Amino acid sequence: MGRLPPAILFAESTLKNLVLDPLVWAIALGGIALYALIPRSTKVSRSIGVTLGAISVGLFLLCTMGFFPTHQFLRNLPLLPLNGTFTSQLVFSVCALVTIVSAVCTITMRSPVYAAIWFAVTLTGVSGLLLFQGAQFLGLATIVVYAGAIVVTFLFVVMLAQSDGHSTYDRITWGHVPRAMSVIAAVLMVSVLTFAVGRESQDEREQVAMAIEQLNREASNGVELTADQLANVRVSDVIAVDLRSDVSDETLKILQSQLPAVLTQIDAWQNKPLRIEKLSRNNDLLDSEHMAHLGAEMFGRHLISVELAGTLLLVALVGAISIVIQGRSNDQEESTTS
Amino acid sequence: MNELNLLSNYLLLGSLLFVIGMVGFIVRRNMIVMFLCAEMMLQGVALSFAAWSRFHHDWGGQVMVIFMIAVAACEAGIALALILMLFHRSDSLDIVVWQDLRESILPPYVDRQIPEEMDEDRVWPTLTPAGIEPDVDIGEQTHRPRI
Repeated sequence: MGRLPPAILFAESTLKNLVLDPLVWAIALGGIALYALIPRSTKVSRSIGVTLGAISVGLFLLCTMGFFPTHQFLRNLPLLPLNGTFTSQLVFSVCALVTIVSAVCTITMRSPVYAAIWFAVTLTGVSGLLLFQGAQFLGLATIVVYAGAIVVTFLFVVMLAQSDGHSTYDRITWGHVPRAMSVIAAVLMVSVLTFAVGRESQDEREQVAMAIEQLNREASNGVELTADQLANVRVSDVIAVDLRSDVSDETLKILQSQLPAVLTQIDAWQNKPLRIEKLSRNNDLLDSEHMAHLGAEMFGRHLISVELAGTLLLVALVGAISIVIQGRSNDQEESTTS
Repeated sequence: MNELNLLSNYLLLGSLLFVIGMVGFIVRRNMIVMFLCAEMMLQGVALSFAAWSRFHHDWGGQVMVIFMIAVAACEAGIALALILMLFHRSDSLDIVVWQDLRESILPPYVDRQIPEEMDEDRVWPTLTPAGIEPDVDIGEQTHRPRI
């Protein structure tokens, strides 16, 4: 046996990793399920697509819960262990599941009415995810503006335009080739994005948080040190550690005296000066005065953009009305001349 | 304090939503469903923006999502006006009707096979009946057959 060239060996090991990785199979099965579920000209029952989709989602969940410890593709992406308890993980999983399943239903339903209703379900899922993340105003705005206004307008147009039952063009697509190409593009995009996300190494903030917790374990000075007190960590020429504004002065003093000793043990940070400060105002997104801060940001820093958005809404309103009136008069002219 | 995991979860979900919307936009032929799919892509991007906003502890991402909602509302208004006009002209929501806009060197798209409507698709949302059933005027029904 002669020795194989390194390029072939590299390709072989990469392929082996890819084939052995359950997550690759999950994404691929999801793509096949999507392809099978999209409306098509021949009569195929939807159960195949549904089964494949369920297998794909199950594999995904197993991967994220660490059922396959050796998989290579997403080495650093522990999906489910979020910050917090089992309940918060459950809430996140349910919201994510609702969002994705109803999104797939939106594009596979034959009837546009059902598609619009499933889209409203997707919006509730997205709103739940935004709420889970602490973006309260966005969650509510999504429900009010999208589900309350946009989807209802869509439903109005569906009722106006397609009041007499189903149409043939909802049951067919552009044929096999565009369908397969779009699904392949989708699968590749998700794979590349997951790969890019999964390659992210440990966060700097997490390292500092671990250091703080280590201090808390070692020290016995009666002051509670928790990672929640940490607001932000920025690493450039200087390592800047910002603490929340409600941290007591005592804690700040303890951290300023003890944290550098722990942090300089990290190799990459050894020769950099360290600055530990308390934020003057809480820029924390999880603050109790969430709405006030968001409004201050919007009408302070982004005031001109707000004005522009208002103008844009006005222009769109005038434009939509003028499109309809203009089209009507053109139609009448055509009917009188012909 | 596992902000990175939260970020990667949300980025993954956002990409999934975006990609599903993209497939729908390419594949479906009903103009209304196509615009629903465009809105779904916007939702995916909005999730990613909110995730980055949380990760960097900066309000910029959330403000951007608010502007996205405003622009999406404008887009929906104009798009629906356009769709209604196109429907009045061609009496169909099918995007294939407007394939005259293609390059002149491309062949026209013709459906090879139009499937029969399956029974399982012939189901409509139903409303629970309430109140007294009104008297139906036969003459009015024949006069306006679409209602």
